[in-house]
Amino acid sequence: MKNTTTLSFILNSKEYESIEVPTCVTLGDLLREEFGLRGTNLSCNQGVCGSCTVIIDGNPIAACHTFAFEIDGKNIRTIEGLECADGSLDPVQESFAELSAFQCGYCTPGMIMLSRALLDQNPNPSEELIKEWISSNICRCTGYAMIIEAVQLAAKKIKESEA
Amino acid sequence: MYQASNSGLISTSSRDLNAFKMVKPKTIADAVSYLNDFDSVPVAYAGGVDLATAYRENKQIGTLVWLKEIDEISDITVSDDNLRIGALVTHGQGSANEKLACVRGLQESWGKIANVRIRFSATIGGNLMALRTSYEMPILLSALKARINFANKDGLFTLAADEMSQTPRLTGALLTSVDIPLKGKPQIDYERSMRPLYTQAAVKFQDGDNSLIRIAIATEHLPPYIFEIPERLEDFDQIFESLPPDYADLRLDNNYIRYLIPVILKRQIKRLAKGQ
Amino acid sequence: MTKLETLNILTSDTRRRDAYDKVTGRANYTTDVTLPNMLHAKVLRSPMGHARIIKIDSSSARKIMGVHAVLTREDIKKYSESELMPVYGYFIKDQPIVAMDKVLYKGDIVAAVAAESERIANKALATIRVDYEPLPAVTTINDALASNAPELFEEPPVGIVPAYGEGASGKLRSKKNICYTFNYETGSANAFNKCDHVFEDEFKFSRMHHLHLEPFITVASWSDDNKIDIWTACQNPFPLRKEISRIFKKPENDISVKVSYIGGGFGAKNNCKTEPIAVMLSRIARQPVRFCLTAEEGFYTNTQHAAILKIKTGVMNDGSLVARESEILLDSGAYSDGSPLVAEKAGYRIPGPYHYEHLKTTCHCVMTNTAPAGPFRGFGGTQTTWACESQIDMIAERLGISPYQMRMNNLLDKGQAFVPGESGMDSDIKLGLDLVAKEINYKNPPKEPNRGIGLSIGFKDGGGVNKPATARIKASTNGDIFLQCGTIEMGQGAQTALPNIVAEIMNTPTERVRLMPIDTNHTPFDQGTNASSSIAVMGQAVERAALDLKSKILNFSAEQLNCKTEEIKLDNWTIRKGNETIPIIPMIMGFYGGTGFEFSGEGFHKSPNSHLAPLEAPCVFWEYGWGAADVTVDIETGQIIVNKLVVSGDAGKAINLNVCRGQDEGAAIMGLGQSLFETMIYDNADLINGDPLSYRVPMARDLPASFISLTQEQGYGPGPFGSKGMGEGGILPVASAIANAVYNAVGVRLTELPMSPDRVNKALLEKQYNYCKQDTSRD
Repeated sequence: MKNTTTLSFILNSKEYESIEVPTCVTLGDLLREEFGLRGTNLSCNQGVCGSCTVIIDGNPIAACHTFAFEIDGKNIRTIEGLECADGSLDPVQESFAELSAFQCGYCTPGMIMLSRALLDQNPNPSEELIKEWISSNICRCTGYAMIIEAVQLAAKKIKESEA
Repeated sequence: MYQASNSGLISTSSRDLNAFKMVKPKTIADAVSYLNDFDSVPVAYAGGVDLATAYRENKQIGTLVWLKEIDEISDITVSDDNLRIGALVTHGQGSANEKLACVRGLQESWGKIANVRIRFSATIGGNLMALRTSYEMPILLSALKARINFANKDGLFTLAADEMSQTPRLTGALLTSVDIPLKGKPQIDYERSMRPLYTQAAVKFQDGDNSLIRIAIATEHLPPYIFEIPERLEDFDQIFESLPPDYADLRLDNNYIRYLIPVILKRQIKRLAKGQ
Repeated sequence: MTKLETLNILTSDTRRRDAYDKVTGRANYTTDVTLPNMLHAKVLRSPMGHARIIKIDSSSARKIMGVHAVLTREDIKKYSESELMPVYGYFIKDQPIVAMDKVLYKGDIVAAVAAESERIANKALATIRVDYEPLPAVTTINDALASNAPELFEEPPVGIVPAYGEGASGKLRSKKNICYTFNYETGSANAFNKCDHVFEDEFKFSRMHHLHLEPFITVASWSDDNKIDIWTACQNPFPLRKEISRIFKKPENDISVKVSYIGGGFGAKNNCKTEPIAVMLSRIARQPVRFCLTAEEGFYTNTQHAAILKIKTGVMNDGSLVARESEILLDSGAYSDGSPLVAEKAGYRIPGPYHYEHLKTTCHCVMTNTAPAGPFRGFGGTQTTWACESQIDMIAERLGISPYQMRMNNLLDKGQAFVPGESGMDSDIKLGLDLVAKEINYKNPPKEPNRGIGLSIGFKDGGGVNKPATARIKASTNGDIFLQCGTIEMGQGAQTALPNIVAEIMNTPTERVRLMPIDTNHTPFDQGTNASSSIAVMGQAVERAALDLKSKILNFSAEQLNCKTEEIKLDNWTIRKGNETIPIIPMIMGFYGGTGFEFSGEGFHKSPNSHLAPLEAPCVFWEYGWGAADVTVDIETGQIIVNKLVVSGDAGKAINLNVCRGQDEGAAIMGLGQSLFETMIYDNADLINGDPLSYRVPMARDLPASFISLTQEQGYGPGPFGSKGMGEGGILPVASAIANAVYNAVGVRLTELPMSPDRVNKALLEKQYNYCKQDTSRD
């Protein structure tokens, strides 16, 4: 019985084809152990805290509860894929850095990916909508207010860069 | 964490899973046949988070039956007297779908549960099949008199939403869809601001000039309990005296729950009246 | 304290230094450490609250392919006492590496396995057979103190009572199931005699879990030449090294503890947690071992202290506080962990920042068959502020004085000693109270039914007890600066603040200063990153090291330039002499040769010892958390809606304003969770919500409609430029401010946390009942 599966997907803009992985491997372990993408932090490992949030086909999904096989044919972005080729930061990263919207940093990659997905889907989010989205993930350090402000700043930065 | 034996507790995670076989049925019939090959230890899965909780309790997967490719269970359809929601519809898709407008308040109520991130991956079927008291679809659907449709090797069968937790018939069965009857023009209001302590769904059904309110209450640890009352009943507080005295958990005592039901219900009746 | 006329560097650089690492995912945590041939550890935990272990059979586990080490009490017994001392703890060495005779709580560790994967380790654990003889479990404070309660520790564990100063004392095993008692007394109890009123009230405090997102994790390697390397998420690597040395009987210079970024601690990650098992398994396997707990296991590893607080306060008719006696019972769980230290602080902080003629306080650590309790942000101060600040309002109400005035009348003035022998208040507390009172509209409160406002002043001593810290700073020929000190970056901003202090003193851009990675082999000694001490204690050591370094460079340069040191200034690694700018590098090369040189400075800080101070050294600084809440109570359901929450801390001087704001806000929201819903729920010995899914912590949607934090910079702190610590103040006042606001709104007093709707409702019904009773009796 064959207990592996063969996948093709795009990871951080790079195409991968015919990658063979055991069926039981989660996306979180695949990213961290096979691709060395250690920016995706694992915490609760049951989809609750959202530390390991990545973007799959535009939607924020926790990598810990997603099996690797589920990404077949999909486009995955992790925190490592947000930076521009020239090393400059994404406006969301830039805003989190500028406003210190983090402390211990463990939830931060997940929060940034969650925020990026929000801004991709809603470029002009209201404060209420930001709160609703950010309520997906746990941050035990900041008390959230500074994160909400960073998302607002990121929305502004993105708009300015497009103008 | 699970109790391995009398010897002790072991904390497991996804890394405790053995590599499993995977099948990707395209039809209900194929899925059912896989789910009934009990020697292969089949587990149905359509993405979402419930399995992550299950394997932390040491559930093993022999064959993973990947349901996402079964098109016939992923639609929302409306007829004159029924709203049918396919098992694979995610919370996000469902609560955003305009077809749900046939049940006033349903989009809003459904849109409140879980969180944005989870709503992208968790399905209505998964929420029901997890059989967890802390999950909320059973509360909404019990109040709506929803029927849950299953397919098994003998054919199709249907359970009332509030029967699910008590039935032994789910083994080998595939949850295909949820039917919400439109008779009586149901309108729903869902109060969850006290979660995880307590939630309450109230649905108003028209019956000629009369209307009926069906209430589903639940706590984090207790399955939904249902009441039905005529809307115009003057003093309905005493009805809730029939709540079984053991309907209580470590956080909420029975007296308070009994007290709370009509308090919230009065507000819900007002909100439902406004919605009309 | 250094006073600089203008702070050039601090005001121009506002970003956190760890921003790039953390927003790009490059930040390395202990969870990212991997070593060649690394094994993975898992453990078997007790299914019972209290039981004697009759027999453990682990023979099958040892035969499983891929298993490299199995650890049970039988393996421990193979070592002589000169090779292994298998118990640990802070004051009391009562926690075994794995259970020996008994298990003391559900979740207590019975066996451990290191294998090639976590999966194999768990499979091996599942084959271990343990026979238990169940014993009655006591899972609440009252059960543990009952006359028929079983004794958790039949044999007294080794323990110490530290030296205390004037009025303070400690005692081990003062009663059955009390492992430690702290007492403090000052002034004569006769003071109660003159009081117009004596009020006795009791408060209950709930128990939270830290739920730091980075799990408890250690990677340990016991090498063939018996050197121990430990990579661990630990807030205090030096005390940990000492404990590992004591347990494993190894010299401290054979043990290297390395700590990278910590993904949240909040107190949980002090002293031995995952380390002893990882080291022990590596010793057996002779391979590196990674031991990473799941989030669920975290709940069984360390928690906050639930507490019962009884306070008796004597006052005059005008509201003057005269005397206070208190008894605090802390639920310490099954092992003492940091409980005796928390007891010291809870016992010591119960007066709050007020003046009394007489104080008599007692705090007991009560052992129960539940998860061990230990340090948690606030460290006893959260418990005492809850009780103290609730009672201040209760007394004010009874005397018909406004709660604001009651506080104003009794608050200690700036400079006034907390108690005899102690240091003085280092903030203007009244100023802070006025600030939050104004922000909450105290003088002109919203006039709506069932809406009210409340005030509170959180209070604790900061900077630890008698805490030493050392720092070393090196500057290379090129002026690149290496800061070495033991403060861990766990979110509080040490990596930003400490280098910025150096940059300011060295008058050089902050990016030229780097805080070096921590390894106990090279890093100078520090007692630990806790007690809000990074700025006030380590900051002073860093400041002195920077001044030492600066004077060495200036002296050297003056010698080279044939001038007086006072004539020259350091400016971005050049010497300014009048209008002249002289590069330093050629001077160094000229004197020390072409290979260059490194200058280095040393700094040390510790409060002076004083037997007059109750805790043997006066407190470094006082940490206040001013809070105000505006709530509406839904009188039908009992739900509390927080319309506005205001918190304020005094940074003294903010080294980085964003960091200070983040500390206050994060702490306040933790306090908000505890006030309204967050709590561990035990059903006898079973923790029923010990996982992240059912344990509810605050989310963004739980923020009050208005949430304001105000960072004060009063300038009186002992740290560099007048700074003070900020890490804990924000959590302290939240619960009592809300309780006081609830009273103000609807006239009911909540004395137990969390203030869940059912409790509020019950209080409302009782009030109604009493009112009706009163009404009918009048008829």
